[in-house]
Amino acid sequence: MSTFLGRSIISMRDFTRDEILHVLEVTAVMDREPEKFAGSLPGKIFATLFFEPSTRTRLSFESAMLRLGGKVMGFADPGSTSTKKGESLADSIKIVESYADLIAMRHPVEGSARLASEIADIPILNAGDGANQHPSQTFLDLYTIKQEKGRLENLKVGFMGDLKYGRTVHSLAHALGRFNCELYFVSPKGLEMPSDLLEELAKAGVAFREFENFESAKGSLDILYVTRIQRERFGADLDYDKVREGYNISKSFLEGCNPDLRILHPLPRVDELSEEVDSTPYAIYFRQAANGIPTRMALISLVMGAVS
Amino acid sequence: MKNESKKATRTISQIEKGTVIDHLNPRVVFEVVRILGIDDQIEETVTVGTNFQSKALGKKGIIKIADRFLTQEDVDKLSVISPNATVNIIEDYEVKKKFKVKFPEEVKAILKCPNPNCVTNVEGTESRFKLVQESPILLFCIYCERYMRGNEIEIR
Repeated sequence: MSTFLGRSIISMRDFTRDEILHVLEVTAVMDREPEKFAGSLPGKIFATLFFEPSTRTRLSFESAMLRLGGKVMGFADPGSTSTKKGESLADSIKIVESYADLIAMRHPVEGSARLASEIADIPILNAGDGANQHPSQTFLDLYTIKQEKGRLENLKVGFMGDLKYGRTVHSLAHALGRFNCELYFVSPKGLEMPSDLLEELAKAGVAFREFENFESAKGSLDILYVTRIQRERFGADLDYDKVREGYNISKSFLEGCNPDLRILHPLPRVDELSEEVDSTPYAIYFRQAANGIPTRMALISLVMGAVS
Repeated sequence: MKNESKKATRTISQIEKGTVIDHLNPRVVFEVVRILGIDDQIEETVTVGTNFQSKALGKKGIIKIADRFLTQEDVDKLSVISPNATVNIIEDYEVKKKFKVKFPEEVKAILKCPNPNCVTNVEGTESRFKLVQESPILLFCIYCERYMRGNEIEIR
């Protein structure tokens, strides 16, 4: 396993199975004893560059750095930056890298984080690049699954919702495929998993199936990963209200499901996941969101060399 | 050299030393001229021929460049645009070396990513593709992580 020191976190494709497990182990340590690491990055400055707003991800990255004893600066919206004046991404990154020790970046353009990592000599943490990757989300999803199930191997994992544009689904499915999980996909017509990705899974020997709904599979599902069906994705040819009717997880769905089923959702949710599910033992999405802190603490600590 | 090919190469003048690119797809002959940097500033003798009869390809193009040998980058570019091309290295009017181009493992700068929201298109930076599969051709953009098929290949 190569060292994480100085490394950028851009895409789940960059990590071996062992490296993924190592990040999850460090996350578990951060989760158990966060106070032990409270002063581990004194004087270090973390720049959070959000060229596209995302309150949750930004706050969770900043909270993670503050808990490690570092300082944070950045912007939450590109409206007030030089990008609006036409500055290239390369120039923005060159400038910021001279102000900070580490950068987290969210950008609407796919591949922007990879480009930034080639320009900067300091590590870049990809906090989402368009519809492409959002690796810290995938690490926290994996950590949540491992925490709940005690393992990542040989699980039956269902994905439901917008599987076409949902980057969290793509990278999680990709990662779970390396742990011999069986994957089930359910989505409205027109929002299915991209065929390239399915081909890639098939080539890697990952077992997967596409279903109309989860009725026949829910008795054996270990994990159900629900994502929001985004209204903005619907053109005139698809009726959003009609489509979303069939994609709702409520208490009635839970009848007949595996009693050990756990439901994840990257949040925010709309009505694909009813609030009545929140109080059931199946719901772990708020814990999942909270796991963003130890996961991002682990990633920051690893690339900054505070842990190895 | 096959007869038809001999005829075709005889149609345009022979060179003492340099490179003959043969079996070019006639649709891309002038694209190859462009990517090899052959323009009105060039000093060397260059002959460009297209739509010669070819048994294997139907029609083909040929480019002869006197006193110039292709760099690896030239060969890589050529292989992307015209995968059936052959390169002949000429010395003393003789073919000293002949090879069929091979698709490179990584293609830098010359291709346009089909994803309009890829950073290489938005910021106009250098593109980079990894070869996943040669036949049928499948490339992977290392930036936006999308796949590109043969019919989507476009030279920048």
